[in-house]
Order: sequence, then structure tokens, then C-alpha cells
Amino acid sequence: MASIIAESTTQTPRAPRPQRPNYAKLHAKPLPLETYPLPAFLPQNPLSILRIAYALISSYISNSSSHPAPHTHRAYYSAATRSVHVTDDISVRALWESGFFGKGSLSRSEPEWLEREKKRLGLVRDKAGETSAEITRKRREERREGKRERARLEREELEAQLRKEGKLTATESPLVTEQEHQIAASAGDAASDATFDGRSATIIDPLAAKEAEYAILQNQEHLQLIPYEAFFLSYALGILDVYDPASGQRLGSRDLLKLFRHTSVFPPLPANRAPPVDDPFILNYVVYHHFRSLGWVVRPGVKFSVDLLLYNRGPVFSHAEFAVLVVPDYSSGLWRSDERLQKIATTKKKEEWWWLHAANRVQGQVKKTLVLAYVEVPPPEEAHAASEDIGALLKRYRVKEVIIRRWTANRNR
Amino acid sequence: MADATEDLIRAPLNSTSASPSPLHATQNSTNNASDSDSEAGDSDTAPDYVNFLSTLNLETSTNLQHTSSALPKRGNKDFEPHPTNLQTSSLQRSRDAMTQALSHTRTHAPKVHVRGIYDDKSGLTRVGKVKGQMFRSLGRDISGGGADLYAEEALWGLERGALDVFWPKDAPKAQALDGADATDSDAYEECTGLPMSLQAAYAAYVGGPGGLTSEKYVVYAGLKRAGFVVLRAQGFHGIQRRRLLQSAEDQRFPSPGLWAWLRELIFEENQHQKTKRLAIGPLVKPGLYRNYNSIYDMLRIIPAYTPPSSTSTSHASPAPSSTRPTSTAQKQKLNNEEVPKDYETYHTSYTTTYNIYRASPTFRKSAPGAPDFRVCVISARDTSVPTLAELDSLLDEQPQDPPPPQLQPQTPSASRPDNSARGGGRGGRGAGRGRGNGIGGVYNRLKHGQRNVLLAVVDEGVVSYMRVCEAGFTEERLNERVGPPPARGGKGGGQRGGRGGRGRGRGGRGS
Repeated sequence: MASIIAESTTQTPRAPRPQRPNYAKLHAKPLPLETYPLPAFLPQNPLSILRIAYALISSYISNSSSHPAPHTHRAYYSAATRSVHVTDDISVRALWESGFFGKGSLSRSEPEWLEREKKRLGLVRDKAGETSAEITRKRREERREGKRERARLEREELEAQLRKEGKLTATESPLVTEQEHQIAASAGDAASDATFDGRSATIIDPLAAKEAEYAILQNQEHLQLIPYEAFFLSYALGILDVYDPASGQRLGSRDLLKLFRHTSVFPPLPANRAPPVDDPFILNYVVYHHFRSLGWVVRPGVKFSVDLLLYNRGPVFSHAEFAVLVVPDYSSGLWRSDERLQKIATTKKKEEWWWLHAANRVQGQVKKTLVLAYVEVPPPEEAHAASEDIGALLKRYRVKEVIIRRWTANRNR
Repeated sequence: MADATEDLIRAPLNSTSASPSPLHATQNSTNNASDSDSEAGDSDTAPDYVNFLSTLNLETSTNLQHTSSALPKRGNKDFEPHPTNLQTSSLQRSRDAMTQALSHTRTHAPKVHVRGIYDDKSGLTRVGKVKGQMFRSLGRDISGGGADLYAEEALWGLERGALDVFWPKDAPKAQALDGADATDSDAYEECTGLPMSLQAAYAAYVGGPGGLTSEKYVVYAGLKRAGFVVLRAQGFHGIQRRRLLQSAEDQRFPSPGLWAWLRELIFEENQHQKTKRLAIGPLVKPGLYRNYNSIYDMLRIIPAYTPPSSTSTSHASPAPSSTRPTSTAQKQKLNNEEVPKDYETYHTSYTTTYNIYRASPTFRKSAPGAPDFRVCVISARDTSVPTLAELDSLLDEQPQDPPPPQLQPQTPSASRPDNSARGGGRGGRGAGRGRGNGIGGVYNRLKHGQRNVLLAVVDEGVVSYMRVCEAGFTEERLNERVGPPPARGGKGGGQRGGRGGRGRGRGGRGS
């Protein structure tokens, strides 16, 4: 995919893109936590020790913390969407910019609806920095144009051949109607795309309504966090407080884990039932946490038919290199210790080969590498014993990564 | 993917029709270069018989030995039928070519006519006298110039028309000759009975006493046709394995090590505090942190498998002088396997079926050396995606195959200190600009993995090969890579460097 686009950029001259924001500066922090590095000690400059001392003392006096001050980010759990919503603008920016958590509810990934809307209404003059949605729309438009052109060339070639064989007179051109039909259809597509992206077809005269619009234009967008992202921010980093919208109470880590595990299956489990050892939430969270703790930026990978995508530094810098499928595994020695457990293990669904082939084929097309993240699931009793201690529970699950790539004999001779 | 359609503007469309497209004949030469999908081999498309026929004619007109080295090229495809005479005629030409190719009479050249006798007890085929190049990599020599062929080897020879197999006419006599010193190969050949038809050969060999299954034969024939030397491996018939009833697998997950313990003792919180921190979170307790690495260290709680080469992280065995142990160490480990009492045995097909060697003029079947690839043949209908235990046992059979030195990060000083605890994790120190530095080096090391094996998944005759390797993700800690990598050119991503991208990802340090 990427190389094809690159090909088109090199072949068709295009106006230079407006300068983009400085992503390296914008996304300098890998996690939404502040760090206070000490100045380096320079042996040739003994006075530099004073700078270190100053940094130490000032951080002690000012009582600065790596965690967001004065309070942590707030979010609430939405049962309808089974996601966690962050509405505060500062929190949204902080969570997106440092670590790429969540997704704008009205955007493809980065929450940029407001910016897009302002541009659409002509409220901002400068054209600098297109949003990713705009880039995508343009690219799709170009691609559609290319397809149209290809179809036209093919038809012309065919007509020329038919004329040569005397099956068509020099003037008639029966295939053009089809072409026109196609253009009309794709134009319709483009129009529907535009309204979808614009999201407010009701405004009839934007010029007249501009002033009023400016006053009432509010950010309609919030940041959606997948449960495992929210749990990571809350339990692991301790920078997100998730509230229950019904009671208005803050959910502690244990409550949150219970809520997420119970609602990760459909229909949601009743509150008095213990969740299964291998519910989707805990499996995904274990793998998510594992790769996050190794420094990867982990994003959901549903559009590439996988569970997670691994980015180096983040999606604005480069494409994801690895696509992760989470595979629960019940083959460890623990599941063989008695017959009852063995019986349970045999009832677990085993994935078929074509499922793996299908996922792997997609990765080949999008130039990613498939990683199978096996999660060794502990037996139920063991997991249940540790249900109150989240750390102990997570430590019962073990991860092993295996990379799968297609191999062709012809290319390895 | 819909995104891939753009280069189709220049390239012709794919279709299932095997007839070459007359309309796109002129574009044929240009589109091969723009075939960007490196994953999809050209093995998926149907053969073009017109081109095939031309090579066949060449073959029959000259000597059989001098087959043309160039493979037949495939033509372009027409996407849909249209009422041109050109298409009709080319389609007809292609059909004629196919009929002609299939009706071609295959004969044995007298000089290389090899006869073998099928043994219905062992499933082997005994060849009295070997002739021709084929036997350089086929069969096991017996004294007197003969050879024994395994079922798949005999079937392959038969399919190629290089071997004539006979039913045993006088089995006792043949066996008597078998038991005696079978130097008299002519007498041996007198014991032969009726020639075996191809149908009979398939019936006798596949599922016969030789242990050949259709899956294994399909893989064997496919690899042979691709030019590899394929030899049976130890686990051709599947394998009896032992496994522990109770889990003693904790040793695979290294414990933190002495240094970590000391550090915890002196600098960090006590055990009680730590347990409490883990129990309800947050793992990163509120406070002041000087760098992100210390934060990531606190986050690292999920036990993860480390590939066996990285013994340096385990405190049980002291780190060797080189962080990557040699393959002999691994062999020793396999040989010194001890069998405690609480083991059970089970049969599995997850074991190496064939050893594969690239064709080489110096290959000797008596001393094949280390194989280039090892393949495990799996039936897609009988098995599902392997469990970790199955995969582990398969990988345990494989030798160590760490990433080559040029993929390792180049440290400024040539010798790495012994106590650098994390093997190859410190790419991109900014000093060297080797292939291993930078994120491309990390990707390539991960993709190469440690131990690896090929899985040939056969679904009713259709083979999908997959390379499975253990990825050392725990070895490559991205947060420890110092500073942002160079925005351009730093990808160095070997096989697919310069992946273009949509532009957004590039030049992140523009302003």
C-alpha cells in the first residue's frame, strides 16, 4: 500500500505540502507523565554540580510531581459504547499527544473535529497543516480519479480493437455511456463522503451564519478510550480517574477491572458471577500492558484484522511494523495437573488454520509482520485466588511472542 | 486492499483466466518491475500453456538433458470476455497449447532408464543400478551400485518419468538376494514383475508401509520442483514426546537476577510496599521521576518468555563472555535432557518432517551438512493453529539461529562489556550508523528471531508455507533507545526499507 502511494508521489508532480506541525516536539513524551531530568555533570566544568544541586533543591521545594497536577485526568465509563470517555480538552490533548491513547469520537484517530469544522466554516485563514482526515479524503479522490482514468484507457483500447476488426463503426462509441454512469456514481460517493466528513449538512449559508457560528461552535468531540487503554492509564500509570456516570463515584482499580471484565463478554456477566479466566479484556490487557511496558505505542488493530498494532514512537511518525493477534493458550503444565482441568482445556475453542492465513494475508498486503502473542492462561482456581490482588493476577498470565511470515520457495532458492 | 489499486493503472488486472491478454501485450515488460507485493509469490497463478509449450518443444527437439534453464513466462490476464476476435483466437490458441502439452508422449531415454522394485513390506523401492544426476540427492546407496528409495522419492522419480517401478515378481528370491550381498544387480533385475502404473504407485506409496501421506508428498514434490534438495528428517513419522505433568516451566521465565535484588534492597521500596502498589495500583506511584526508563521499569510486570539465547538475563547461569551463546551450547542442552518421573509421553506431528538444502554443486547426500531450512508438514484439516506447547516442542528441536552480526547494533567500542545485561537491546546509541542501529535494525532483529522453522500447512493439496520464529521482544526495549531516531534514512529496514508512506509519517522533524 505504502509503496504504491510513494510511487504516485514521485511520478506525479504535486504542489509542496504545507509544513506540518513539529511532531517530534509535540509528541516528545512517550507517556503522559512529566520527567525532570537532572542536568549532566561535566567534569571539565565543576560548577555544573551547582546546577544539579539547584535542580534537586528546586524540585524538592516546589514539590513537583511527574503526575498531572493539580488533579488527574477525569473520564467516565459509557456503558452504551463500552468505552471510556474523556471530555476535558486539556486531558484529551495530553492523552493523545503523549502516548497516543484513545481516539476522537468524530475523527479517524486524532481528535481533530473542531479544527476540521473551523476550517470548513472558514473560521481559520491559514491553510497550514491539513488534518489527517483531509489528507485521506484527498488521497481517496486522487485514487478514484486514477481508477476512472484506467477504465477509460482500457475502454479506448478495446474500442480501437473492435474498430480494427470492423465490429464498430468509426463514430459510434457504445462504451461511453457506461463510463458516464460510473463517473456519476463515483461523484455520488464523493458527495456522501463530504457530508459524512462535514457532519453538519444543515448549515445552509455558512457565510451569513459565520459570526453566530463562531460564538456557538463548541467541541462536540470527546476522546474514546478502549477499556484496556483506560485501565492502563488508571491502574498502571495512575493518571486517569474513571467515574461511573450513574452514581458519580470514582471507580477504583479493582472496581474498574471487575467492570471491564464483566462487560467484555456479551451479554455482560451479572455482578455476582466471577469472570472467566480468559475473558477478552484480561487477555488483551495482558498483551497491551506487556508491549506498552517495552516502550511500544500500542493501538487497536481491528482494521487490519488483528487485535493490536505496534508502533515505534507513534502513528504520526511511521507505520506500524507489527500486527499482534492475541492467542489464549491452555497447554501449559498447569492445565494438565488433573483431569478436570484437562477436560476444560480441551473444550476451549481452537482457531482454525484459515483464520490465521486470512489474517496473515492481510498483513502481507499492508506490509506488516504478524505476531502471535500467546497468553498462557492460569487455571481458574489460581486466578480466582489472586482476584483481589491485581498485580498477582496479572503475573499469572504469561506472554510469548512468535512471529509468523509467509515463506515462498521461489524467493528462497 | 483497495489502496493497492493505484499501480494497477499501469499494470493489468488479475483474473482467473489463463489466457494471455492480447490487448496488454505491449505492457508486459514494464509491469514486472512494479510488482510491489513482495509477499504474494507468482506461484498463485495458473500456468500459461502457450509459453510452456514452447519450452517443451525445445526440450523434445534437442536432448532431454538440455532443458532450457529459463522458466516459462506468464502472459498478462484479460479481466472479462469481450467480443473481439483477438481474444477469441488467443484463448483458442492457449487451449490448443494445453491439449498439445498434455498429450505429449513422455519416454524413457535408454541411457538413463532406471528400474526399481517395490518392496511391499518396507515400502522402500530398490534400484538395482543408479543412473543419471537425479541420484546425487536421492536415495541411500547400497553396495553394488544400487540404492534404496523412500516412498516419496520413488513417487517423485516415477512422476518425472525418470524411474520405472516394478512389482516384485519373485519376492522370496528378491529377498534372498536382498539378504545376500546384492552385488549381482542383473540377477536382481530378473526378479522383477509387472511394471507399476502411476495410479498403482500412488495407491501403494501414499498411506503404505513407507509412512508417506499425501500432505508430505505434496510438500516434497513442491520443494523438489522448486529446486531444493529435500531429505527426510528424524521426525518424518511424527514423534513420541515427553512432557511434564506439573508445570516446571518457571525456569523459562528468568527471575530478576542478583543485581535487581540488590538494587531493590538498597534503593527501592520494601516488598510490602511493592505488593501493595501492585495490588491496587498505580504501578507508577505518584512522585517525581527523573527519566522514563525508571517508569518503564516499574511497568514491566507481565512475565514474558525470553528466547533461550538470552541467558545473560538469567541469574541462574552467569552471562557468557559473548551475549549470544553458540549453537553448541544449545545442542548440549538438548542432549543432557533429564527425564524426571512425572513426565507423560504423547504423539505429535509437530516435528521436523524434512530438511531442506538449497541446490549446490558441492552437495553430497552422504554428508549433507546443516540444512538451510527445516520444514514441519501439517494437515490443515486435522489440526488447528498450534498451541504454545506444540510450537515450543517444535522449536526446541531447531538449532539456534540468532540474527547475523550485521543486524546487531554497532556499539562505539568493539568489545561490549560483559555485564551489559540486555543482549541486543541497545540499538541506536547514535554513535555508529551500522545496519543494526536505528529502528530498522530492531525490526530486522525481531523478524529474524532466534530459533525458526517452516510450517507447511497443507489444506487438501494446497500448501501454505510459513516461517515461524521466536521473537525477542523482551530483548528490544524501545524506551531504552536513546533519542529520536533520524527522521529520514534511518529506517534502514533491509528488505523493505523506504516504504514510502503517506507522507505524514516522514520528516517528523521538519521544523
